[in-house]
Amino acid sequence: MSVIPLRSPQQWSDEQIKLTATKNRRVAINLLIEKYRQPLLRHALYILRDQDDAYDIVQETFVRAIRETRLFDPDFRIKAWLFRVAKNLCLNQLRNTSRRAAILHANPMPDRQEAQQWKTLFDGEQSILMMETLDKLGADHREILVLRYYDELSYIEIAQVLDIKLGTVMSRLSRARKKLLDVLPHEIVENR
Amino acid sequence: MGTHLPFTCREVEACAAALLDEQLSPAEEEMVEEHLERCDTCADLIDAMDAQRIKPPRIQLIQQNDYWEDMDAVLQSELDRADANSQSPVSKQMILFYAAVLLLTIMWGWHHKQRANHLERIVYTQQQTLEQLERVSNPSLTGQNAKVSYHPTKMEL
Repeated sequence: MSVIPLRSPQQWSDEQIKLTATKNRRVAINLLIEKYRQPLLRHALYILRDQDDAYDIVQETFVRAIRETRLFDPDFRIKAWLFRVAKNLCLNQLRNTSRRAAILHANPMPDRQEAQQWKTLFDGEQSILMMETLDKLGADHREILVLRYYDELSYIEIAQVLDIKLGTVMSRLSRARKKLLDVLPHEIVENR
Repeated sequence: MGTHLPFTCREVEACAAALLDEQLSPAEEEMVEEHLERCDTCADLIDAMDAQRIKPPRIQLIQQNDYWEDMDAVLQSELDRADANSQSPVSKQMILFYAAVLLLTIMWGWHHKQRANHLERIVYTQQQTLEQLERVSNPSLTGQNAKVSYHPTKMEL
């Protein structure tokens, strides 16, 4: 029963959606869901690499958004908030998964097929290679690179999502890219 | 190297990504460029970073038309719940107020019950004392006559 606006939801700015919320909160939330579900799903997939888990994360993020009373406050940063909630949920999910894996230590040799399953999510060798390269970086560097170059968030939005200063975004991103130089396979650079 | 330059190598390194992403102010950019003109090490680093190919990996997700259907169902029922809560005739504050009144009433009743018990105990003790005094002051009372009892008029509690 989602509302079909005349324009595509991606064309609505958050400010316009906030304005809609003053008349009809439900319509505004539906617009937000339509606008952000794909970007949030992509973010969760980059982090979790599991389609079902990523789907659940997006759903939970929107459930929290619906319950958030400040969501349409004039100074509330909707995009940063959504990405922050999704990011934290992804981290929790990763922690739970690794804890579960530790508990189920009975299988020390992980199923090779299962371990490689995430690759089917990504199209082309280059994409898979890029994801494998990211794995060689630390969590902070991986996270900021995904937010900037995959999710295409602005520096200010990244600062809001990670709750750090703009200067820290710049320096962390630079360090991440420098580190990437060491681990990035040659073929990716050359095929530019 | 670079101490006489407007930006140190360390500072240039810290804002390298911002330079490539065109996030620096014109003044900052000018200072970095000035540094790069004179510092080969930093220039090489920026060139190498610029050559990095950081494109989002392509995700091939098969999304049928009904892909979002399950999520929509959950979210719409969540929205229904939120609407119902916001339209509820009894607000949360009212519920809290009524709960507080109920609690105070129960406490008030319990307090008076305690007070009544206490007074009853006092009356009983006084009654016992009076009976003893009567027996002491009139030792001739024996047998049936020895039974002296006082029944003070009931107090209004």
